[in-house]
Amino acid sequence: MAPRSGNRTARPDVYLAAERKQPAVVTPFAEFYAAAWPRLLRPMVLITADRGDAEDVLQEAFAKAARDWAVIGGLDEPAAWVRRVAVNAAIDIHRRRVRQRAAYRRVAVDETQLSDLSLEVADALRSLALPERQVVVLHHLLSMTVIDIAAELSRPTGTVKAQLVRGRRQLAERLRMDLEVEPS
Amino acid sequence: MTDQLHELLERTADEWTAGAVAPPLQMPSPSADAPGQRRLLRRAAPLLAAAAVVAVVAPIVLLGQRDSAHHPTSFIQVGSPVAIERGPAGQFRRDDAGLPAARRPHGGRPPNLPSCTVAGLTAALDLSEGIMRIDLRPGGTSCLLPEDVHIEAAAPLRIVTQHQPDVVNPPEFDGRWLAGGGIELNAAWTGDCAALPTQVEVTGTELGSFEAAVRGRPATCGAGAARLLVGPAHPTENPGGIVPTDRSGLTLELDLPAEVDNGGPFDYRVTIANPMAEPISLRPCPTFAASYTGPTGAGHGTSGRLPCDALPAELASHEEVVIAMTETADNGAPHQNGGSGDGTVTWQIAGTMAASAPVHVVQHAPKVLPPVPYAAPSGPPPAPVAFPFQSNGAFPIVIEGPTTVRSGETLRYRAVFTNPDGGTSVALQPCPGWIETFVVAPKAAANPTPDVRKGAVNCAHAPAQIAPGESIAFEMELAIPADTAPGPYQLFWQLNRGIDSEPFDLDVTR
Repeated sequence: MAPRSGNRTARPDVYLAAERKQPAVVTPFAEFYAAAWPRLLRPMVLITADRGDAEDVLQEAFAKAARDWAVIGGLDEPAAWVRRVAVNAAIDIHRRRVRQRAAYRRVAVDETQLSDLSLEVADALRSLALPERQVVVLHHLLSMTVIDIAAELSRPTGTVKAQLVRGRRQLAERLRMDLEVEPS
Repeated sequence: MTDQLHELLERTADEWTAGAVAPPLQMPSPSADAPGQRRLLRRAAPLLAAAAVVAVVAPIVLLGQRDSAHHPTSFIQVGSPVAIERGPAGQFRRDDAGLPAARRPHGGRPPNLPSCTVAGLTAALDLSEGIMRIDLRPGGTSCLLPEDVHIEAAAPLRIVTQHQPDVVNPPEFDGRWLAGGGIELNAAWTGDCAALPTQVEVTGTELGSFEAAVRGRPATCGAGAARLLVGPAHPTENPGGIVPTDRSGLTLELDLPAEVDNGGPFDYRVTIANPMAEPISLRPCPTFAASYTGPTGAGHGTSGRLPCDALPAELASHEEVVIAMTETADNGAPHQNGGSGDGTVTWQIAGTMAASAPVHVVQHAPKVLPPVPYAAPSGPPPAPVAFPFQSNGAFPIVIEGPTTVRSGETLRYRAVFTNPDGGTSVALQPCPGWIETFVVAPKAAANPTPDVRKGAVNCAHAPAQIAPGESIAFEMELAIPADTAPGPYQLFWQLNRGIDSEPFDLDVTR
């Protein structure tokens, strides 16, 4: 505690330096970012059906997390927070793309590394409406329950179930797979 | 189908994300959707940079007291540095008070959160820590607690619920948003410890009630009636407490340098003054928020808690306390020819109106390095390398070249990369790759097929690194096929996947 004098005019000027607080925040985020990025890119690339878009929405979500990393980093699952932001942001970028695709198609250089089967899956995913794609990927890739998906996407569970059934049926038709339509 | 579909999605995701590494994190621009621009303008992200990436907001804070009639002329540091604590997860400081509204966690809770139900909640009162904690049950989803969430207990324990008074800048604890991190309520025990409760109840309108376990023993016990003083709910990561109403009587004044270098650090001072006739308490210690917005509109901010040990317990009438801050003007765009503009610094403490003041930011012209000659692609392109680079609010690469080319000819152009001041050096070891995209311009066709080339930078003729404030041109050659249809096209150039050029418009003619 800085000493204080009862005589205000004679009070000594006391100054105390505080150390930089930021580095203590930066390193944990950098580690989280490096570790979580590839993991979160997987569902996002399927939901957006475009690696560039997936990276964009992830960038935005991670940027939001970074701004409040002292808070987000303290959550039990910060990666789930980032995923939720990214999955919901996919709607915005999807709308942007719909407008842009009227002008020109996005560069998709990364699809050259896909096998024929994966290309077929990618095309099948693209044939789904985005809400159905979100639900299908969250359910079938990340094994999330209908209730969790409904909470993540702020949709009624009935809607999620219907979207899951519809999306799965459409995927099955495109991929010529056997069909079981009951959502788990 | 479920298993089969799972496997298909797994496999597709594997292939589609093969070799994925986290690129340098960049902030989106609000104007990113403008036609003709790249999908995201890149903004500075000072918080993130992989450790040594950029200079960050640096709240080196000096505290000083002064009498209003005797302004200090110099600062003298005494003692060891004191950390400004925001309170890491799980750590709660009862002498903290509030976060200003501008520093709300997450920038506000998401819309359409469902109301919490008792079935999804669990709670525990830790008497030794003085904390009441509410959590989601495992697997539970985020929800909204009622505004009047509070604790009830059976006699003889008396619960006293505190409410945040209406102050000028009320704290935005957002204690209603219950997510994975949990919600806490300050719970201070006073009085006799002879009959400690074994359970209490958490309740609220439309929530109902549910039991909370009680553990621990109060750190101090009194002789009077048992009483539990419970504060407002707040996220566990943020400080809690009550911001006194008289703190609205304080005034803040910023003393900024007239001019600062873009990318460089600068010091400024904040004077907290009490112009009132009565003393104003500085306990609990105020939390502060500081932000900087540069000429480009990009900015950053930080918040923290003023070091309680150095801060006087109160400011008497007409007394002042001076706080010295260090900031970094690290969000300037990489201007090709220099430039300047006005930035803004804003500073506030919980309970007191914010103060803002302009600062003139000068951008120096970059040092131009010798150009890197073109080397035609040969063999597979290098694997992407994680660049510790922030593009700082603008396209860091600008393509220069003729705006018209004949089909069948070779287009010679330069991709000029400028590393803005205040960033970190961009290493060219290991040698990075480039990606060139040549595509029919928008509106010329509905679904043009882009012509994409990948190659490696001609590192044999390039410097080992590009330092902040330096600019370098990568010379390029692109053969335009003879059968290329005439019309408008766009050219993009990317260094090491992630450092992008702005689109370059050119016309192909016969």
